[in-house]
Amino acid sequence: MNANNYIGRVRVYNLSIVSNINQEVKLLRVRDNQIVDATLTTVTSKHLEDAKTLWEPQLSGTGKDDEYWNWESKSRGAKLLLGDELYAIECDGVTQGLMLIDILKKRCQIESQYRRRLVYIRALATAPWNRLAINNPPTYKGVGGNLLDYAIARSYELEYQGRIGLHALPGAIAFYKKLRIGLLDCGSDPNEADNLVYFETLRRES
Amino acid sequence: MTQSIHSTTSDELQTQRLMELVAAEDASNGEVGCGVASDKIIAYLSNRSKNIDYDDFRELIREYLGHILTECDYDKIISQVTRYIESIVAGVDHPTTDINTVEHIPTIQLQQFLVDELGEHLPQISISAVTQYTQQAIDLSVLQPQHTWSNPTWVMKSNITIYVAQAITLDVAIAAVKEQYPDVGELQVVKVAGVLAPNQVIAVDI
Repeated sequence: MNANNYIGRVRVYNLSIVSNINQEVKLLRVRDNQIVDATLTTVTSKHLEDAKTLWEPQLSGTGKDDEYWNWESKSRGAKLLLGDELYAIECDGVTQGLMLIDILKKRCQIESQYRRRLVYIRALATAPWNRLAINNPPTYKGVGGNLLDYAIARSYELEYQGRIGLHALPGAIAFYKKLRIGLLDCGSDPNEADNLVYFETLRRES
Repeated sequence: MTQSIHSTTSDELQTQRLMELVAAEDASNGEVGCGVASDKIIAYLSNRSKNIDYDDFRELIREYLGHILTECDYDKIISQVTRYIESIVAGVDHPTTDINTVEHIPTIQLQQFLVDELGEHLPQISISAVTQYTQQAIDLSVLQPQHTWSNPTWVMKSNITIYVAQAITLDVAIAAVKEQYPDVGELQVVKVAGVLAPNQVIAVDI
């Protein structure tokens, strides 16, 4: 029996165990256009090692916004900060994407839901070989979207009504606009050093 | 009349959702990243105790400015000041603060508060910088408290037309459009401005 449910377009995961999730997701393997199984899981040292040894060399010199991100450091930070959670998608034995979320410290900004709780995505990245600008054709598609869907599912689990918030990197704005999950473009955020565009899920009053 | 009942399996739903995610990803050439680009905050995290107590700071602001500002303004000031302190602790270049501002909280009081909170960790010169920065952040909020901002500006679209309306919530904005354009049909919200800051410029793709 499938223990998961769907709310709207997004799968909702069972609440009971969240600290060590191990969930099957689907990715599109581009070379043969096949849908393949992957695993969305809590981050382990293997995933961080992949980011360091496999991602970093390929990101080096690309000028991508996450070129200098250090996922090991993010993981260390997540252990220090209450409410930070780190997830990975693994396929073919290799880390395909990473996401750091904050389930406690950030609140909604939009007036009608001001200060309500949300899941804030502190960082999300897909492996460099899954990006067209670095590897054409990319290896897998759907990594970022699956991570994002999980963040929404986590928000439902926490009874935050699926609300999430994030600051999109400049190249990814079109992605967040196209997702059809109710993310609202709130414009560039003058309170963030990089003036990144802030997106927040808006839940209607009625 | 017969009605065919189609039961969609979980696999089909997952595949359908994957295709939506892939379409969104294609719109941004595979770029899906979000999050602030700097990892310098990690240097701060290892010293994370070096910051002010939010509640105490809120109380101090409320004591002197409760008649002018509201909780939204407190949030913004606290967020700005704590980020400034983080940047100092992390050794990140921070803006110089040599502009004279009005002392909405007596400097002697504010400085004493910061010494009590940060004196063990930061030299006097840094505390002076934080004091000055705090006065500026407070001054900006006092000049334009959030309750004096115009209502947010909502950008909505129907099939062929874009509508822009100022309203406190999206529902009120939609009602205003429908009242003035009764034949509008279904509306989709595209953007909101004036949530994160006053006088935000709205950029709409054409």
